[in-house]
Amino acid sequence: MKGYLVAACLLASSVLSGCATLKGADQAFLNLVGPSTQSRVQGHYVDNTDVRQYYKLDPQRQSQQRLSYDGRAVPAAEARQQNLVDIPMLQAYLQGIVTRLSKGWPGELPPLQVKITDSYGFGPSADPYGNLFVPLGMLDNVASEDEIAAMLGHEMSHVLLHHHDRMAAFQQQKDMFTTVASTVALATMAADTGVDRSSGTMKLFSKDPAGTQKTIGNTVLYTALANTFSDQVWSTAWGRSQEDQADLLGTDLMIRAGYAPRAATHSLERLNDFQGKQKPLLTGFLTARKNAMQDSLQQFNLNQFTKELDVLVKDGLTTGITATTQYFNRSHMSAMDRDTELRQYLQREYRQERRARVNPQSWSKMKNTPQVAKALQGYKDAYFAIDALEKNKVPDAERFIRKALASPVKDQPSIRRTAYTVRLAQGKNSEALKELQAIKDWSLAGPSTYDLMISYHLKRGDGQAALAMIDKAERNLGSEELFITEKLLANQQLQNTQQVQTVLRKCEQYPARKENCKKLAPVKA
Amino acid sequence: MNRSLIVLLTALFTQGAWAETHSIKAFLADPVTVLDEQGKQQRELAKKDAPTQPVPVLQYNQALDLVQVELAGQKVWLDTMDLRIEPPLNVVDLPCQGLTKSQAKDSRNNSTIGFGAGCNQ
Repeated sequence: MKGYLVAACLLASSVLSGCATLKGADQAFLNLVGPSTQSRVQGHYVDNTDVRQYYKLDPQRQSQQRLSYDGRAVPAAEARQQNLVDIPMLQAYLQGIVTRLSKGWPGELPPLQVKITDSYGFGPSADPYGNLFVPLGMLDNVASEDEIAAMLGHEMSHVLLHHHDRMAAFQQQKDMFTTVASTVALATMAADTGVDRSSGTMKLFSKDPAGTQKTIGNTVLYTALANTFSDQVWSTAWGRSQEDQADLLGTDLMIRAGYAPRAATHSLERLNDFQGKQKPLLTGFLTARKNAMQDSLQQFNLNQFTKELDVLVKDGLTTGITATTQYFNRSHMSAMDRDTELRQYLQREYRQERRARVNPQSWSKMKNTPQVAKALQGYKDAYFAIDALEKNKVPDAERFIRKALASPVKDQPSIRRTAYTVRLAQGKNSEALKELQAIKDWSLAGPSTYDLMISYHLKRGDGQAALAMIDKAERNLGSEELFITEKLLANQQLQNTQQVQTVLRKCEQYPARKENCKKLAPVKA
Repeated sequence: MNRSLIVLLTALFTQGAWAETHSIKAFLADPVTVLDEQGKQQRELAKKDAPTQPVPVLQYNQALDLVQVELAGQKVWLDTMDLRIEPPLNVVDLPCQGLTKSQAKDSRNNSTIGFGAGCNQ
């Protein structure tokens, strides 16, 4: 079995090593084999020398991370992809669990902040800045506070053990996958752009407004659906040893906090089940998404510029499908292995504690508190609306979105973005826009929601409004890279030559963006 | 049909379903602790003496996370922490709408729902 694993990993490594964006992946893959971390640990993991080195925070590292956010220097791949969900009572409850878990950490604590996301994936994730993202799909499926604590403890552990420092190679790949959709949106917009010969400047005008709107609508729809699983796949695509370490430390923390460690095995079983159920969705969805993108591309009047984007999109898709499937298989295999290893660790180190029972009452009480239950239902209705749309059941989508728009979370970005997509499907373009304009708190919005408003302003030739929205996105997502091509377009619309050159120079720093920037920049005399 | 009859039928059906569908596929702990119905330790069973064939689960006590099985002709309770049970006891209940996004042949497959209601809509 071990030989087979090594051979499979070497094969995967050799296939992947041909791709420049996956430099270092071969080593990461090899992390998946070899003796498990659990079997090598003596005593409680939290007390091990390997872990002690992280007890003390490095002030320089901390300040660099803070500067990344404040200076809008968060790489696009590390910026959060989802809309955030604002349910204050639930937020406080989850943060309380993190606080309780934190007390078991003998070292200094970095900032750890729970954020609920609108994804219906199951796995939570953490970023290097201490944000712990909890998807609605996880909250929808866990049975106890102990189980939530197990999953949050695991994510906290990734942060405490600096695992993100070793994630660079994977982040690049994620970037390629998640930006494919926005590339299509950009390409659609660019294909719809004409040069006003009379003035010699680039001016956006619509050659086929209905077609463009439909393409962007589809892209948004598919991106929303993609996020449901891509999140899950990527959040579990850590190297095996990192996962093992986070399992061990997370379990130590939950036991110190008085939670029942059996809940950790419950969540791993659920994760395994979730991944198994996603597999047919993954295959079917990727095919559908690829077809939709190809349809989108067929709408273009392919000149040299769009041909190149076409290649970029196709390459991105192929790589994305291959790599995603491989990661998926890998992570699918590992959930049960991790569970088995964890149980052995518990039997060895926590003979009494492993018998503790979970307490389902506190979570049940929280979930059923009227304001929390209504908010969660609002999000579920929005999710059902998107799904109805995907099946071309527009009246069903209307019914679901109407319910979501009557919920206490009606003005949050995810709900309004869904309403926007429903209105587009109904052919009500101006009402669609009003849905986006009804968003009250843009600090909750994810990149794709910003993308819609920015694209809208650019299409109208309102560079000023586009720049204002880009500024909001940069501030709230901490990343200048995300919308730098749009920033260039907006400044071109405003004929602000100096700013265009400044943005162009900045764009040069971002390998994934600079080619697009160059193509969009005016030809110098 | 009165309420208690429904409850009785449900309980009978549930118990039958357990016996049909769930079984111990592996003993993970060594030794495995044999318990009474309250979860109190009765004795220990060395892994080498545990059955190697799947053992059907007769009942599941969710509150205590214990399963009842028959070992050597005797009904006993075991902690699920010591066991690998298939199909798993902890699963996700995805929204039905999500499941029907799969390939046509999978879209009406109720068996992928776990313990929740089917998606035959």
